[in-house]
Amino acid sequence: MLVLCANSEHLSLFLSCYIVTFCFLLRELWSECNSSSNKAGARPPIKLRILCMHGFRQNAPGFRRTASLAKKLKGIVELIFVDALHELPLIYLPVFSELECSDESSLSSQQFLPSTETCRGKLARLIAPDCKGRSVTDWKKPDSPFDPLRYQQQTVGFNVSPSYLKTVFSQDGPFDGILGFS
Amino acid sequence: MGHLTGYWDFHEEQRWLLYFVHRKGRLKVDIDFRFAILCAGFALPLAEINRRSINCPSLHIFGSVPGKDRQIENKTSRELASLFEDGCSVIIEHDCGHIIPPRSPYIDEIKGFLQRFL
Repeated sequence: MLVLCANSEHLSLFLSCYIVTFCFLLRELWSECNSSSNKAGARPPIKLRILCMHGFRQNAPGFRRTASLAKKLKGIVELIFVDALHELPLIYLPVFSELECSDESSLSSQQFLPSTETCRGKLARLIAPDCKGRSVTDWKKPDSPFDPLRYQQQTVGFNVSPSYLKTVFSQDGPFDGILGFS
Repeated sequence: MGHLTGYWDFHEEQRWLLYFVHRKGRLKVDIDFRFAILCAGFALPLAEINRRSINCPSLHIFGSVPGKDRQIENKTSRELASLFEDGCSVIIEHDCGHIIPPRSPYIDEIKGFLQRFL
């Protein structure tokens, strides 16, 4: 470009000024874009803080995993999961072969159950009056088949919850909302 | 929507029920929130709560009829929803079973409810 303009001082001067001005404007535009994006990035996103309470025979990590709400509501909520207070006995549903035959060498559910030492407890907010908690430390089969109306018998356990929830609210709060499952 | 305070109400036999109301409680604790989301919820008949008496924005999510949620019946969750004032509760019925429905259109309806509080 300089070679082409060498014969004309005016044209060379004009082009030089043009280039300098162009570069200056480009730099201004660039800095403006950066500053505006910085402003948007610096603003903390407003999220609703929701205290999540799991259902019967579950726990906070299990509910977090199965609910998968955090991913679906990403950007608008912050979910805080807490454990319930009452620990339940460890029970398992036997596999089909155990129900069909009593042969000791047959496939057994016991082989696949996690260690009771490392297994995280199954918890509940409300329990039945005759619930003995996790007094039995090993896995066992349920005494009776699944009863869909079981929840109607779970009528005790509130007595320790107010002080616990008060602690949760004071330590982890404030919360915009609460979420309860089942 | 006024300032909401949740409180615990003592009942016979040391049993408790959580209320979400404006009225003053006998044993007040520092629990404060703006809305409640009750999934496959039910109310135990531990204390008398009048229908349409709970003034707290609430979202009720439960299985639709017939028998989409085999653990908590549609009728049971609907009864819980009926304890909340008209106009402050939203109901989402789904066909996904005993879970919080993680897919459209339900998840969009949940977002719609939450947007009111952002």
